[in-house]
Amino acid sequence: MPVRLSKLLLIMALSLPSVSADEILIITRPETALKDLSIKRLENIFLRKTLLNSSGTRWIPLNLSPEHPLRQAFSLSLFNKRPEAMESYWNEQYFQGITPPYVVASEEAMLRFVTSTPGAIGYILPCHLDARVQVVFKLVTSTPVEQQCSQHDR
Amino acid sequence: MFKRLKPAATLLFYLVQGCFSYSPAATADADIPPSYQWGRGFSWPAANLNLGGYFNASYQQPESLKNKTTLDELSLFITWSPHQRVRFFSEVEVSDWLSTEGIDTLNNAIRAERLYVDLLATESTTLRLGKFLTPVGRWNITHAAPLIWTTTRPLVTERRLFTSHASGLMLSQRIDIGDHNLEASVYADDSTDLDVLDNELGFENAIGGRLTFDITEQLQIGASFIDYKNKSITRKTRNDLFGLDLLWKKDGYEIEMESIYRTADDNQGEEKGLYIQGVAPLSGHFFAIGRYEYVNGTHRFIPTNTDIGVTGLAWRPFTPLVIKAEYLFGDQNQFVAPSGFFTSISMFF
Repeated sequence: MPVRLSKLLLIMALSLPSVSADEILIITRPETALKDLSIKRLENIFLRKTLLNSSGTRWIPLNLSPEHPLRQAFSLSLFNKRPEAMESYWNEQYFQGITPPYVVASEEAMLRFVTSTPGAIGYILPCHLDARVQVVFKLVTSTPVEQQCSQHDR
Repeated sequence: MFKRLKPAATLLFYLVQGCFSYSPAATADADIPPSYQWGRGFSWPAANLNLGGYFNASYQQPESLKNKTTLDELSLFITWSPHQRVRFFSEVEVSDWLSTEGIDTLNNAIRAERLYVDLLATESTTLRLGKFLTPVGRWNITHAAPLIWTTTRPLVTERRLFTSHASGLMLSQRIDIGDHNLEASVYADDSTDLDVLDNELGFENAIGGRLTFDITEQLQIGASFIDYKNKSITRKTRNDLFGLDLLWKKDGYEIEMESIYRTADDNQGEEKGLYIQGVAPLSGHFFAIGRYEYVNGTHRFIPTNTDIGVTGLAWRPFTPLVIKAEYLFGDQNQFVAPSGFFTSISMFF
């Protein structure tokens, strides 16, 4: 009986879809005073609907290039859309004089920009976190991103 | 033309300079070099400056009227943020300058479509001063040819119903309600005194408001109200216009609806109308578009009771570029929107 039960449990475990809950870290300069960063507020910052933070500093959201796996995961987790599906939104914003977030070349470039720029906000993998920045939000993603730690130079 | 532009530019300059001391751009913006991206313009991050624009050219073949090819719009946008809390925006447009019917003078064709400064009071409150698009419905505030799906414009959004621009001030407040955004705007127009770049169909004055609410990620609803008096009407009575609108978007499909009711005391009478437009993606970046419009009442002083249909195709091979072709038909529509074939090409640059 115990053998049959363990087999049953093994079959159940193998038949379950693999569930991954990796995290993407949202980062700012350590000096940035930030309270209650909800996911909706984060969305508004990266959609550039919110242009100022609560202390009156201009938000400067940053992105990686649209094809970067971390950007894809970030976009799917925050907007439920791939970066290319956001283009019609940015077309409309362009007509209102609002341009998309700046694009930086790598996570290291994002870290450097965030460190040196008041109001900058970006995202990195947990394995690339260091003391130069503070984590203000952990964005849960169902896209497996941790594997990027070994595959990509930050 | 430059004489006409100067007072507005001077006014905005002093307004910005007087209210705020200069604050340089965030230092690391200088790390990102100036660049140009097709459809997103020229960006100079160190100066917080962006230049861009769009053009639209059309061929129109209305039944019982002359065929016409026109460079309808050539627009230039300038966005500049000299301070964290200040954002300046202008759109200068050359309108109907070149056509097969002749070449207009630049002085007649050029105008400031928008010229305003946004003062960001808080993270969710903005005060806008200057000339801006009248926030009635969705079409008018997103009317740039590369954004819309048809060459023709629905009657309930056209400039002769309410002028597309207001000059004055507007206060906007965004409220986060859980996972939903509610945006409320109220504005007051005094075009008689403030619109130095006026057009003949402008308001004399107006007051209005608009609410938009994101019900879901895909669905947004809006409500508008404006009380206004036009410059060009001989008998100047006040009009009240109420509007409701809806936009649903998912996976390339789109449904858009706007309805209006306008009333006035004299021979401008009253009118009501709506349009509903559907978009469906086809293969190869092609989209099919269908629209139904209904207008009943005194439209442009003409007693009107019309049904209009539009069926067309749009091809968007690249994000900034769209080529459209459509056929418009209807019942009792010859004076307000003649049937015919319309095509256009437009592009953000």
